Amino acid sequence: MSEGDGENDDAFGFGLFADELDEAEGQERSKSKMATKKEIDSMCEFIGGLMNWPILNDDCRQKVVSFLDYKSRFALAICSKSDYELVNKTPLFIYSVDVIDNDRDHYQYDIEDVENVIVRVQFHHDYNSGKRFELIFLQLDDDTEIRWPKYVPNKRRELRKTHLKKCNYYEEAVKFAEKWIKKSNFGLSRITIEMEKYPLANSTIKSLPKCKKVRVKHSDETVLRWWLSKVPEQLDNLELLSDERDTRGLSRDFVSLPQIMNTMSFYFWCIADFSDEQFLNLKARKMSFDAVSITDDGINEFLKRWIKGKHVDNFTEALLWNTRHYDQAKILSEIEYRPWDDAFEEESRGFCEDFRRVCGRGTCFQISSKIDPYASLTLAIYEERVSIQWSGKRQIWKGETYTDYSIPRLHL
Amino acid sequence: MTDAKNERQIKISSSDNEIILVPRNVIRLSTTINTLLQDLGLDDDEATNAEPIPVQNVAAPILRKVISWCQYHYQDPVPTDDSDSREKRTDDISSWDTEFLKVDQGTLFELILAANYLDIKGLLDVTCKAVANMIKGKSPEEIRRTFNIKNDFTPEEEEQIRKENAWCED
Repeated sequence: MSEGDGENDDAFGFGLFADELDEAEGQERSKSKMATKKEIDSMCEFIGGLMNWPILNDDCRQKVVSFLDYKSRFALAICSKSDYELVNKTPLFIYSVDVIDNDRDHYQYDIEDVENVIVRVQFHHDYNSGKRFELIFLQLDDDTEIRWPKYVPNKRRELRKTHLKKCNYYEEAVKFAEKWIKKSNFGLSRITIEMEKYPLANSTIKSLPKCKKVRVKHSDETVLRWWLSKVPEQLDNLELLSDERDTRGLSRDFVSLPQIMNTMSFYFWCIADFSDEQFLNLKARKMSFDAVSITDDGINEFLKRWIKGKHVDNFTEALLWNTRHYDQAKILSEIEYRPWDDAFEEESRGFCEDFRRVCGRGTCFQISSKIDPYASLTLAIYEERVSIQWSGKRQIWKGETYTDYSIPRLHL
Repeated sequence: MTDAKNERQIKISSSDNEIILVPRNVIRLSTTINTLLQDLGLDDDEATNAEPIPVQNVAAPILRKVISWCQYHYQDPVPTDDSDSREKRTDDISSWDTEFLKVDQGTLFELILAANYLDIKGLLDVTCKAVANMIKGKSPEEIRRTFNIKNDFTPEEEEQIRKENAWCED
């Protein structure tokens, strides 16, 4: 997962359990006991095949194909021309597609200083499920070379290659990625585009109506705007990155786009010219950006609104990056707060030390809610940023209510 | 299931003119029959319909098998169509269904067609999953053999497709 990734596709972090969790959910839906693999194999063996397959109508054959993974689809597609057509016209569930140029640190492809494009297609929401593939495209004289790793149990990974005659690697990679996006009927849940020269003019992507997790790396606002115009106005997570973090940024007009103002979570590795007013109207529970125009008064107002309960539900974290002088008095004006003194350190039972280890040693204050006195924010002021995190949460144990302090994590 | 037996019965006739009585709640799983009952204004009637609903494309033995599936499953929660939001699985078949589907290939073929015609989502899903399970893990040659598929690609065409998808065969 990328730095600042606002999502957490697998809260447990173990892909091994992904299908089991899905199964548990499925079992709740059915009174019937689920069959074991042995029972399913026994059923398949008993039936033995389907000799009437060629005369089964298209609707039913397509329904069968809809249950096949991409490898089985390919095996079927190669059986006959009609099966090839059938497979090609049956949408395939694809969770995400990543297209990334010049990832030169990719150890597994034996590339060093070779321009390349990586295309990664993931079928399951959990990366660790292994239900994905990844190809790398390179230029080899006039041809395109495609490499992919072949994993053989108990053996060293093998690198396989194929070649496409007289074509450009960059264009072929994009064509390939868009072919897979089309296979999903443009129904991806997530997209990552880190391409300096993505050929937008020739793109077949008109809209990605279900794509609610978006990551785009580019310094040109026009390019970013193009991608945001393809996805829904209400996103779950948005990441915008730039190689020119300190010099190029997102204009005030650009950040007013609904995909930014309404997203549940965002991470911008670049300047974002939010005004105080825009900042106060964001819907994000979690945000991180280079906050060049947010004033101390704006931060003060944000805190006051939180204290009064006038904030987005489950607000978790705001990281406002800018190396400047922060006026503590202004930021904390008319706000009741507790500095992190010895009494607080003792009360919070190790939280302060954990926080400093993970988030750095800033000047920290705890600010309680007027709506729920057991809920509180940590305001931390550093040289290069201000962070506001919902760290104090109401807990009840053996009938006693208390505040539990922890560094917040957002699970989407 | 006993509840279903005490309920209003619907008369349906198979393609070979056999008349079968089915509890209303059981046959509710068929969207085709449901719609027909509503369109004909028979759904408000308390009594059994005098004229049977014709199920023209399904013969009696298959129709009885379809009804037995519906009888077992009619109280299941309505399946949500989440096909778009997650990868489809083929291993989420109930034990009962694996026994139910231990049939000859002709019967499975007829069951799929009947489930499609009667628009019984759960039955169509489970029969198609059974077929998908028989495809999974097989090579193209094995699939051709067990699914009676004639290879009409020229060797050059097949080679070209394999080459374009070489990474997929690993």
